[in-house]
Amino acid sequence: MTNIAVSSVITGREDRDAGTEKDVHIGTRGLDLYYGEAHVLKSVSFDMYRSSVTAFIGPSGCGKSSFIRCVNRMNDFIAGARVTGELLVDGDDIYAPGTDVIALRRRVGMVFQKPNPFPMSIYDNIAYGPRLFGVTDKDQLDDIVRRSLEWAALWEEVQDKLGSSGTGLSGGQQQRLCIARAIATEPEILLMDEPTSALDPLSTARIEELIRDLKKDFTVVIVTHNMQQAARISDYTAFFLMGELIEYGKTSKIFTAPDEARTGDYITGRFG
Amino acid sequence: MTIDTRKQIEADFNEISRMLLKLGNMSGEALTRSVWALERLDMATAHAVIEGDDPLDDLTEWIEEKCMAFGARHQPLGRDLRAVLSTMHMAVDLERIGDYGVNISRVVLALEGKSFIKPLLDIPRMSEVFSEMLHCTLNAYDTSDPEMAKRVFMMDGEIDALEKQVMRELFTMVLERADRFEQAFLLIGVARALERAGDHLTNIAERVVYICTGKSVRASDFKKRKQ
Amino acid sequence: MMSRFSLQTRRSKDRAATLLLYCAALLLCAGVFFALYFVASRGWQVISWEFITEPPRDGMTAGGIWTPLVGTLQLTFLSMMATIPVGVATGLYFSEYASDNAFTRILRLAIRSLAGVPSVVFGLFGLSLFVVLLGFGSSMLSASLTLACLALPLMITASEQAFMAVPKEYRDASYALGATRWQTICKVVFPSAASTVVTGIILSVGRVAGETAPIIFTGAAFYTPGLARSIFEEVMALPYHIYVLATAGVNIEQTRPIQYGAILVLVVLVLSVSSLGIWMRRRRL
Repeated sequence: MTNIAVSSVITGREDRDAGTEKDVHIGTRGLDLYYGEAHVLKSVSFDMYRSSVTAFIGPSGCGKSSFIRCVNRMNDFIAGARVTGELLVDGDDIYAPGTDVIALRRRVGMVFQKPNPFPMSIYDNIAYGPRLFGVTDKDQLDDIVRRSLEWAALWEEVQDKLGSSGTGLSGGQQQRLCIARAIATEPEILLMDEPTSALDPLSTARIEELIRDLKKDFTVVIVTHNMQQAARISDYTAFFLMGELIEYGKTSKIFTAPDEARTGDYITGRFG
Repeated sequence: MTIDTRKQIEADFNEISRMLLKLGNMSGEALTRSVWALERLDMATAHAVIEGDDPLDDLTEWIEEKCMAFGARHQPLGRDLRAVLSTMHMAVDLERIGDYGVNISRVVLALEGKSFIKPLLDIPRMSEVFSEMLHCTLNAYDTSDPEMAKRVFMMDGEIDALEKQVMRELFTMVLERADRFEQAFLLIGVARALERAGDHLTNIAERVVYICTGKSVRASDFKKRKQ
Repeated sequence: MMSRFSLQTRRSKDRAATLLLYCAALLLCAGVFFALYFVASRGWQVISWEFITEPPRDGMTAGGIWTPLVGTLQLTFLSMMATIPVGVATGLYFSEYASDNAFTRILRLAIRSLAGVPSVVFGLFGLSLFVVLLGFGSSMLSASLTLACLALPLMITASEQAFMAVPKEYRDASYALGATRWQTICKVVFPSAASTVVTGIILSVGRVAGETAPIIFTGAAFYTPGLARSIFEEVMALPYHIYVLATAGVNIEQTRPIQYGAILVLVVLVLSVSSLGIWMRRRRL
């Protein structure tokens, strides 16, 4: 166990130095978000890179969760939500008129704070997304379910009970099921909104290990309140404060020697 | 994170930094006293310095333990992380300075009953510069003053120059009369130890700058720039 | 900080409250069981296979309750056919589509007031709308539709609440996977709410099966020789049959056992439908 953990840390390091160089996957240009009168995000501009893990940190209400909900346009459901500026995924502005939101959400998967498997079988949970897009072939679905569960490191634990309810799993397993469900449609981007805040340390460790693995295939954007977690799993870190992006850069720099005094104050617990 | 957590972090680190300053003063004193004993060939003082080394080692160990406990307890980030990791290194540097004091005291014991081949001038001068550097370094650490820490880099150049001078002088004397070799060898060791002690202080000063600014600096860059 | 005395006081208060509530529950159970015993003890001797399967004879002083029993089942089934789609669809509209504005608020208010209208008013409404205006005549169809109207507010409220109770997390998950609103309703909201909707249906069935007033004017027959073969025929119904036997029968005293027997059958019918509902709800995830 220790050996595996150590080696994955080492390979993680190598990836960090080798890959991810400047292949912009998600970019924002002067992005503003309003909920009615409230100015939630203020002119946010930065780039997130392909196959990297970007962590968003900041005190509650700083806009970090609202930001990731812009990326798959989940904010559309909030009455009075309004976006100006550009949010580019692969160079296309997803707020441009005529954007197919359904297709966008297929490209941008999301994992929520509270594990939220549907009250159906494990199999049906995973097959939900593919079925929406018209996959009906039993063999193909079987294949997708198996692959997604293997990806999410849950296959071994549930392969004998795919027909039992997803809500009967433990909290950590449920969250991995939700990750498997999100990646079953093979999105390019995986948004995670505090995915481990409701889990015990052991389950958290498993999810973190999983995130490190997933970034080979996905661009991961994660919101977390746990700064040690951000330091452990992310390549880049963005610090938000009151709707503004204060500092963005390599995680190793943000957590040891940030440029902005406010970032330093936040990570050492002087406020927030 | 609440304000109370912040207070606890500061209180815990304050305890560590007090002890580091204490270690600095003790090691510095060990070194300067050994040089003082050398000038007078005072065996009692030399013995006292040698015996005083164990408490130094204990204190160093204590600081290391506290730093690890601090890390485990607060999982520090940012400046806290820089401070605690750097402090751990500094403790080791300071402990080495104490060891040089012991080395010099051993030289004193070896020279018992002998007379100097030349009057000691530059070695006490090195010791004085060292004291000044130590004062400056510890002050910079205590008050988180990167500018004061940078002044240490200049003084280290002075020590280096003095060491070279001592060596040249002693070499010439040995070339003149080979039987001076033994004493010259011992005194070169003393000069060498003082120069090394200065380097350790320079390391510490570099870390002070890193703690304060988050940027790594090299003393050599400063020395070059000034020249 | 807390004195021992006050802690004891609070404990004894807690105990007293527990006892009080326990007694109330006990009293309620006792009432129900007494009513059941009362009906059962007077009705059980007439219960037999023939009582269930034979139509009334001799001016309803002998024979069984086959005709009104089947009539009640027919009425209930037909009214549910009308109530369920309309009720569930309206509930869905309120929970998924309707935004909070003056129109929907008035609509909700109307539905809530409808629930408080006495059932006889529904009877008169059914008489003027279905029997007279739409020309269905006094028939099973008119009676069923009237019962459907009666059950509608209950059905709408029950299904709306069932849909609202589906956690927002399920919807979020579905939308985030790229589902449309309709896909989300069909695949997530509806299945999750189904068991609660079924409970609403069962409550409506209970309400409808026992009603007398709305059907008197709209389609319940005093007596028919045989089962209704079309929805435009009049139909006998168990509650009305009991009412008739008890108040306007040929020989009220002589038919007491038949009355109690019929009541027993009705009670058992309603109870078993409810138990079925509860069992189904338990069985679901």
